[in-house]
Parts: sequence; structure tokens; C-alpha cells
Amino acid sequence: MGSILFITITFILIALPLLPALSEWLAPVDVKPLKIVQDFDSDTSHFANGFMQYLKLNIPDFFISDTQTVDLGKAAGTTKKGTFKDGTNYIISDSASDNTGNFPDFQILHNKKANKILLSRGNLHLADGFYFDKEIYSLYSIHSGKDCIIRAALTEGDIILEENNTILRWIHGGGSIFAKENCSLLGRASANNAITLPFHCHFERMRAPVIQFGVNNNMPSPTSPISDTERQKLKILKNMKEQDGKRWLLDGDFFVPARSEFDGDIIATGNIEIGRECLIKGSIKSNSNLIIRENVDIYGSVVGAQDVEIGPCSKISNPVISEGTLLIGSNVEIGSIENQSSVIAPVIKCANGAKIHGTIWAYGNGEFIGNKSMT
Amino acid sequence: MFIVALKIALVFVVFCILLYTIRHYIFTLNRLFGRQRHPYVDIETANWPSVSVLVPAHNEEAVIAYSLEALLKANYPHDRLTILVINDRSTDKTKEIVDRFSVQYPEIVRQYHRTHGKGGKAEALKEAMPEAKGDITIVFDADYIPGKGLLKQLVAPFFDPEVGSVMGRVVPVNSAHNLLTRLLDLERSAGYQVDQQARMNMALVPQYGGTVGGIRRAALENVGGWLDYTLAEDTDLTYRLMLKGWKSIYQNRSECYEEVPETWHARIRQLKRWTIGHNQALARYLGKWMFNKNISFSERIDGLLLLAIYTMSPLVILGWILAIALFYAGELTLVSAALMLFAIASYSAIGNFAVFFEICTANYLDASGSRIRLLPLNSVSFIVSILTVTQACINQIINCRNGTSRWDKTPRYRVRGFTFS
Repeated sequence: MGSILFITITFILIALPLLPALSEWLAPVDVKPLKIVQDFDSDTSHFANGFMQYLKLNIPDFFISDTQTVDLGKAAGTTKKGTFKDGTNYIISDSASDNTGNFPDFQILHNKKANKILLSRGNLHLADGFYFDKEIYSLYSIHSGKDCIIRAALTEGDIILEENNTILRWIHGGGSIFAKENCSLLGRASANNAITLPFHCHFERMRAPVIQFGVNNNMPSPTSPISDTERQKLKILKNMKEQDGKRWLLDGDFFVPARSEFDGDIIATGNIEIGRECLIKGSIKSNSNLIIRENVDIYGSVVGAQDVEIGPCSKISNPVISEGTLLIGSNVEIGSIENQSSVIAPVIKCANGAKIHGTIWAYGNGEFIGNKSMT
Repeated sequence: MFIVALKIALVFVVFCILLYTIRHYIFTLNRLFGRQRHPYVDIETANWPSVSVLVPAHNEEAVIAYSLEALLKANYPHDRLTILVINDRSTDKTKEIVDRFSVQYPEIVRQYHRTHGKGGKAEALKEAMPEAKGDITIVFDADYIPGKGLLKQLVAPFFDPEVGSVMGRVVPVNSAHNLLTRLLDLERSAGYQVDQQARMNMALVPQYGGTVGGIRRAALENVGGWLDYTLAEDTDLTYRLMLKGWKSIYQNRSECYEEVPETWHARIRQLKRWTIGHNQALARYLGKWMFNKNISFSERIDGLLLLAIYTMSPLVILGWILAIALFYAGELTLVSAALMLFAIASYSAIGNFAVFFEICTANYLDASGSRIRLLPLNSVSFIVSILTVTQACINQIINCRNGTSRWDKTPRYRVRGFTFS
């Protein structure tokens, strides 16, 4: 009897830690495959597209042609209120041009915190100093006031952000986005035409055919001050590890003399410095720091395992990737309208006149430093 | 003298076990607290290179249509995309299904029919490679369901001129089927979410996995193309590329569903094939790896441990036998015997292919729910793995003279009632 009791107790003690496992096996709770979002496509305007779908699902009448339903001659401050199926409140303005400061709902807000989705069929002006805690949508344009905090904004036209605005999540303009000084575009900003940032603006992820740092966006594309015949062909180096056709793999640091030309890829285990006015008809990869001097033209991509500095008036046709700090000099052009590119680094600092065609993604901090010294 | 030899052997086994244990701890701590590297995955706009997507298919009628439909929905520029289905001597309706797609999408979907020749994925890829004209070759197994943005994500790292191959993460889609698939789900999570990403973070040797991955055509040609005499062409290629100065990249956010074996029989066959293929790579590249100028010290150590991973199972069994034999021979004091047994038992507990604390970490990083409760049952999988791998190693040594190896295809199961969101 004692032995049976001993065996039974021993068995129970051994089985005890297995009970949760047996329970999950026999009566599964968490059995579905890990979630993969099959429609995810890395699009900067992903959330803006999602919001548009949300609106079309919840308020399809809003998008019916103006002539059928809209009286754009309504007086400013005339609004309609409602609630979506999910309980979210919204306000619609039908005026051709209106300022949220005229909205009766907003006039009684003591803390200036607007917590309803704001929809406008006209040009929408946002009153100064407000915190828009919900999304904003306008069929025409959005012009913010000063010192606004905006969670998210979407318009079919242009967006103008006055001084000291902060975008918390995302912003998308069917036309262009013009920011004024000291704006912070946190999250994602995208436009179908252009994004222009002046001094002291911060950004994270932006996408547009033209992203211009500095208000003068009529600067011509950088052109080399020397002709191709003035450049010397790059010679084979002592620290060559592998040479496979147009691909050079180099051990340690590597310096490309000024006015050199090379048709291929250069990869170095150490630092790379590309002298001024070089032409590289391939890509560059440094496993340490990478410095590109002024007026360099690179047809391929630029990749740095640490910091990357691109000198003034240089032109890079393909993506620029840095795993450290990326400094983009004045009047640098990356990508082109026809072949848009991407610029990615944890920290990006851009100088006046830098122009990016495509996407720029500073996943730590992006900053427009104006004419300040690059270093 | 004999006893001394046994003791030295036991110390060696324990040393190896501790080495792997430390390695797994480093990987886990890196994933929890280290800097995470995803430098390429967010490239959104670029002048995208031409891509050939190769889909080897041997009797894949149950799954091939789903895979092709998903590939056609990809947001990769269609004028730079070719999907080449390699119909590898199929005897079911694979050919008819692929024909239907190639008629409907003649500019994108093409097929290459193999009617004879050696079996196996590497042989099929090798034979069809001249038909793949793209700068980048992406390989998907026929049961894989890529998401809309996956192709761009897998191609993005190739803007780095040092990158020769890219590997994404595979996620079991049939995890709900039975205990085995659920255990494999845990194991896969640890392997990708922790091991592979830690290697990527630490610039070590992320392994190209043969599917949900891409290869630069120039790099493949540089290292001699696909080899048809290996059972693990992915491991083989990883090492050949690195020996020539090309890097392999792992992207944890480039996820794709796959099917895992639903029967222990299929799992055992898969493990045997991996063991033999991996050990072939060990024999072929160990010497070159240790003395190659293109490999850094940390890569050399990690690559060595990765190459030797399948030799650990017979070593652990040897350790058990040695420890017990020495103990009963009275040659181990109680304390030292306990230490030795503890080390070996620890290894037994923490496993080989998916260390238990790595599984916990992966579960945490994936924000999974109560599936982690199954963890103690992973001992079953571990026992099966260790015995299977040991048997495969012994067979490989016995059969090494004839030099032949047979390709075993992993069976496919269409997932019932699962919809891809």
C-alpha cells in the first residue's frame, strides 16, 4: 500500500510541470499560424490608404460628386456631426473654404484638443494652437495654423504646414506638402508631387518624387565641373582581396584619388574615401566609414556599415544606406524623377539644397541642418 | 590508458556542448538587448533590377496554383519580373496547372519541363538556371505563399554590392495540424527569430536557406553555379559565397508561409536529408573555411559551429555513454561525474536545433500566446532529432565510399480552412 502511494505521489510530482503543456496540447488555445500581413507592401502612404478605405467604407456618401450633394456656398462654420459604426465621432464641413476656428464644436474647447475626425469638402484651414487628436481629411487642401499638433492628415490637394507644427503619425498630400520652419514630420509623410522642408525641420519617413531641403527648389541638378577625359582610370591596388570582373574587394581602408574614374563596384573592409570629382560607374560599400567628397557622380548605390558623408553637389543614382549617421551635403541629388531612389539611415542630416527623389527614411532622427557645417 | 582516453573524450564532448550553449546564450541576449539590424528591408523606391523567380515543382498539384496567384499579386514591377516554374518530372497535374498560368500571363509566367535526369532541387535549379535571365534569382518552394511586398523586400539587399544571397523568414502555416507541427512551429520560430537574426545583427554567418531567398546571378556564376551533388544546396551555397567574399543577409521581416511535415516519418526523412547535406558541406569546406582570407575571425568561429551542428547529436550520445561507462567503472568521482552528467543533461534539456530558452525568446518577440506552454513536450522532438541525426551520421560514414545520396521530397499538405489575410 505504501509503495503504491509512493509511486502515485512520485508520478504526480513528475507530471505536475507537464500539466500546462498537456492542457495546451489537448485543448489548444493558441494554435493559429503566426500572423503575416499578406498585403503589407512597405508603402509610406500605407496608413493614408488605409484611412481612405476606412472613410469610403463608413461614409461613402461623402465621396459622391459635389454637384449631387454638396452646397459649397454654405457659410463658414456650418458643420454636420455624426458617429461611425465603430463609435468614432466625426464633423463634416461643406463650405468651400472654412477655418476650424469657426466650428461651433471647436469654439467651446477649452483645452484646444479636437478629438473628432474632421472631414472637409473644401479648402480647410486649421486654427492656431490646436491639438487634432483624430485624423483630418480634405477633398481640396489643408492649411494648418501655427503651433498645431496633428495626428494624421490626408488631402487630395496640397498641405501647408505653418511654423511649429508637429505631425504625430502620418500625412499625405495628393499634391505637395510645404512645411514652414520648426515643423516635425514624425511618422510618415508622402505626397504625389513634392515635399519641401525649410530650416530646423525634423522628419522620419518621407516619400515624394521630389523632396527638397530648402525653399529654393529651382536649383539645377549637380553637374560635374570637369569632362570625362580629365579623369584618370583607377588602378589595381595592393590591398586587393578579390577581383572578379568589375567587382573589387579590398582589405582595409581605401582612398580613391580625386578625378578618378572606375567602372565597377568597390567594396572595402575598412574606411573608404572618394576624392572630389570622381566618377564611379558602379556601387560603393564600406564596412566602416565612408566619405564622398564634392562633385562625385555615382551611378550605383552607396552603402556604409557606419557613418556616411556625401559632399556638396554630388549625385547618386541608386539607394544610399548607412547604419550610422548619414550627412547629405548641400545641393546633393539622390535619384531622379524617372528613377526614384531611397535613402535610409538611423540618423540623417541634410544640408540646404539637398534633393531626394523617392524615399528618405531616418528611423532614429532626420534633421534639416540648413547651412551649418556638416561635421 | 583506455580509461584516460575515455576521460579525454568525455571532456572534449563536454567542451563542445558548453561551446554551443554559450553560442546560444549570446544569440539570445543579442536578440533581447542588442542592436537590431534591418538596414535594407525598407527600401521602397528604387530602380529595381530584373528578377527571375524560380519555383521548383515536383508533383505540386495541391499547392502550386496558390503560390503562383500570390506571386502574380506582388508589387514588383511586372516588366522586370519573370516567374519560371521548373516542372521537375511531375506525374500529377502540376504541368496542366502551370500551363494554364503561362497561357494567361505569357509575359510573366514561363515553365521549364524536366522529363529526365537526377532528382532533387539543386539539380532542377542547375538545369533551369540558363533560362533565368534576371540579375537576381529568387527561389520559392511550390508550397510558399509570398505576400504582396515580399519580392521587393528580398531584392532590396542586393543594392549592397557585397551581398550575394538573401534569406527571409519562413513561418509554418499548418501549425495547427497536430503536436508535431506545433512543436516544429516553436522550433522554426527560435531558429529564425533568434538564431538567424542574431547572426545578422552580429555580422556573422546568416544562412541562406534555399527558399524565400534570393541570389545575385553574378555571385552564383562567380562561385560556380548550383551544385547537383549536394543534398543541402543552401548550406553549400552559403559557404561558397562567403569564401569568395560575398555576404549572406537575413531579413526577419520578410516573412512567408510554408508547410512543415505533418508526420514523424516525413520529419525524420527531412532531418536525415539535412544531416547528410550539411555534413557534406562540413567535409567539403572545413579546411577552406578555416584559412580563407575573406573570412573574419568571428565569421570563422560562427561558420565552424554552424557547419558542425549536425555532428553534435552523435557527440551527445557518445557523452551519455562515456559518462555512464566511466561512472560504473569507478573512474569518475561523484562530483565530477555529476558535473559531466549535468553538462550533458543540460544540453539534452536545451536541445540542439531549437534551444529551449531561444524558443521562449522567440515566443516573446513574436508576441505569441499560450503556445509556449508546449515547451516541455519539445523534449519529444529533441529525442527524435538526436536519434535521427545520429543514425544519419552513422549511415553517412558507412556509405561514404559509394558517394551516392538520394533526394527525399518532403510531402505537401494543403492547409484546410486557412485563409491568407
